[in-house]
Amino acid sequence: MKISILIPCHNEEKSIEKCVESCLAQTRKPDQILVVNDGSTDNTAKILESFGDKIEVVAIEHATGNKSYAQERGLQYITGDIFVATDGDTFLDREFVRLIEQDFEQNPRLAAVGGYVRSLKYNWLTACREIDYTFGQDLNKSAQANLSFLFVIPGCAGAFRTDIFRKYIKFDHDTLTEDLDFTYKLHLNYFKIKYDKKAICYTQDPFTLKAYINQMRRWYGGGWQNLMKNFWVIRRPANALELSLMYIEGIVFSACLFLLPLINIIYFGYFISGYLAFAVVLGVYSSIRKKRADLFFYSPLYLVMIFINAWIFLEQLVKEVILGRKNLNWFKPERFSNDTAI
Amino acid sequence: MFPNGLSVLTHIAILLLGLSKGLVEAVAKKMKWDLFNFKFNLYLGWKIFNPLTSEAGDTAARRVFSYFIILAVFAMIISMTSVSVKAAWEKSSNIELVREALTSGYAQAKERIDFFLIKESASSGIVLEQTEPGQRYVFMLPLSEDISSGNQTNQ
Repeated sequence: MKISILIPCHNEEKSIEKCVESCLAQTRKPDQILVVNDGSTDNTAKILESFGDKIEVVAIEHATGNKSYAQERGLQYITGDIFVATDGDTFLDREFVRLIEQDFEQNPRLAAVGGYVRSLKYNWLTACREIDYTFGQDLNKSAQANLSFLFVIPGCAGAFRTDIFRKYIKFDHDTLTEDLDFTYKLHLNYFKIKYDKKAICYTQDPFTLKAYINQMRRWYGGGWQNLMKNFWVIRRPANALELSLMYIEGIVFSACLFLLPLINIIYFGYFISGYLAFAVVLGVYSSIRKKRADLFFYSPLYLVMIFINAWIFLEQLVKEVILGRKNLNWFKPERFSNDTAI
Repeated sequence: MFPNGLSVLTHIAILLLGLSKGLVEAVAKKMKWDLFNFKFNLYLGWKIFNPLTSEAGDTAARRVFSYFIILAVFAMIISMTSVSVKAAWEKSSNIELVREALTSGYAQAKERIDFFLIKESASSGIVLEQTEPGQRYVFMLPLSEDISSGNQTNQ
């Protein structure tokens, strides 16, 4: 079985070196590492050149403005039976490729595998995101795996059977979250997707509030776009259950978060106190699970993140669903050097 | 998407079901309880997991049953939320709190004004303080004078 790694990147001088090194350091060496340099104007091209013939580089002269265009271009040059899709700001655990190969070998009907994402340590925002990832992946995704409905194959930690991908997944470039679009298309065709918690990757998350808000706008906006686009994914009951828990309960929860203080400030106080306690419990769990004490100390700030998320979730519901304003502007957050992250 | 009540509970329940299924299967296999294993899988698999994870070609009846479960779950969310919001509204809602504050404020002010009006020099002063019953001190301040020169009346 041949395995390729596809890395689209745009102005990733701070992180691309470590990303490629992590691919080269795999215990099971990939057969092809293909980097698509999507019109970078910084030193990304020079850094990629320094790897010589260890990697293949596809250069796009002018930036396409959306990751999915770079992925589409790169896919034409993929030679592996399986390809791992990751990002230029991510690095893979040494066992990632070996575990992915094992998954595909054990189940020939498998179309894709979603890995486990960890957020690199930087500040309180990345710590809160790590708590969110821990909760989302250890509880929600594990339950989704039991229902055979993995909500999304992460864009930075996914692996696909190349022939199925080429045949069934068309690059439409009409949503903000292409990874969700791919996943929905696989579900619509009843393909098997596995969630492998042991296949770990480490990625950078926004470290300023402005960048965080922009990323959440893209994620939630893309979420609504994809739900409308692939609505009939709900024809399978488990999918309907999971999506309802996410979207219907999401609307009820977000609305309550902002309406409750207007209705009854005392009840709101109780609610916030309860949720704060819940956030601390999540912080304790995450800090033990990830062996990071900072996750516990930052856990009360998780509440701030929930308020921001709830607001953006409702904002994007209004913009994308009610007003029908389809935003396709990709936002690229500022990066920090992977060397500074732990 | 958001870690909140029902989704957390539902996901924990699904995980526990999955774990219990795996555990029973493993025990039944080790103890060679083939019939038990068969019946258990028939129950848990056919009744719960399979209808939910049904694929193309599954029977309409089983799908309807699954959607019925999902609808029941969401009826619970809506009813629980509406009951909580209704309770929050009825039991000292913000409007009630404001009304109470205004009413009590009005009552206090009225009491002070009534007390003030019984004084002969009502037109020339203002009540600044009222302490315990029976020991009510009123500071009568002539409007034309400075506050520091106000006289004190003991009732």
